[in-house]
Amino acid sequence: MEVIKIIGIAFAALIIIILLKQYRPEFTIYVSLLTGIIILFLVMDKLTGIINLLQSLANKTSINSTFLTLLIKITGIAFLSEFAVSICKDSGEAAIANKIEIGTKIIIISMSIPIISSLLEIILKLLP
Amino acid sequence: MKKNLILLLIIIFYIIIPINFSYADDNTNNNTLKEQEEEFKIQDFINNSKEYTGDFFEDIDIKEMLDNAIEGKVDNSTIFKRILNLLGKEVTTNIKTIVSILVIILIHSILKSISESLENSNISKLIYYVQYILIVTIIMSNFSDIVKIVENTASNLVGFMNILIPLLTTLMMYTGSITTSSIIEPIILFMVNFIGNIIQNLIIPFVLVLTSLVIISKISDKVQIDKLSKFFKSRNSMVLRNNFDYICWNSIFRRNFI
Repeated sequence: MEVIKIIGIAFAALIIIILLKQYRPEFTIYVSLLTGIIILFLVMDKLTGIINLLQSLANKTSINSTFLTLLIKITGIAFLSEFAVSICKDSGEAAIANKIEIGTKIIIISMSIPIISSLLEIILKLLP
Repeated sequence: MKKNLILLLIIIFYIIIPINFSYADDNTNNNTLKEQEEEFKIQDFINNSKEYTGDFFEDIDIKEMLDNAIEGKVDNSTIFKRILNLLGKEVTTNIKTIVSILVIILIHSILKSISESLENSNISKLIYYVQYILIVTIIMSNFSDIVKIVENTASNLVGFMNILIPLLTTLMMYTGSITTSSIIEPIILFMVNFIGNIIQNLIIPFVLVLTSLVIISKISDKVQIDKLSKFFKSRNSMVLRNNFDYICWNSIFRRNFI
């Protein structure tokens, strides 16, 4: 049923945008933004389910949970940034979209520093 | 005439050569066994070998087993049970590692399906790297445990053989094969120490370097050090093969010339 909700919201927004374009084309961007946010919130619940599944899987085995949360966080950051970038590109601001991309990349790399350093540590520990 | 002479000789020999039929009772028998045990220092060997056998003979009295075996009551079932238990233990410990790797791959595939759908390929590539590094980190921590086990086994092998060889050679000497024992000891001792040292000092470091090279070469598609890792791999297998050849030639040599 969630899919039908999403499709319904998207179609309603589409019709509103088409109608608005004739009279007030500057308002269409707000409608598309709103639609995107509503769809994101609808999907949020499902995302938490997926994350819970991953964490329960990791708890069953001896996987370091801090790494897993980092991984999920990084994926989430990429997801959100993708969303923002697509909105920026829709409204014709490619420069801001690029800046968002660069910012996310830097944040992801800085977050993955503990993982990289732990890999290095393990390799150094292994080497005789 | 001849027949009579032979008969006479037999009777004379029968009288002259004393033949004692000794009906040894259980006590004297046990005493001699114990004396021999003490002479061969079998108890020392059992005590020393306990260091290497670990928890395999934890609740089994080896001396009692030995005494029973001398009396003819060979008890194979407990040893077989022990071996089966040991196998089960190894399998269960390794299954945990396999399960954790499986779970990591599952998580990776779920996250990959999310991150690959992103329009921006750069960020999805970055996420892939992070996931790869994470998986490698977890697998490597298991790998380092395995390497430690291998190192322990190699050192235990050398130590155990060092304890076993003196006893073995004394037993061989007492049972009559003096020449074999005098020749076999240096060869076997040398070989055991040599192969153990090769495994500890050459092969394990090689394997470690090899794994780290493989991991680093797989992180990026552009930086390739595959050839170097392949070289290490081939050298490793060559050393192991040469060891095997050495053992084979040695056994053939011994069989043919000694």
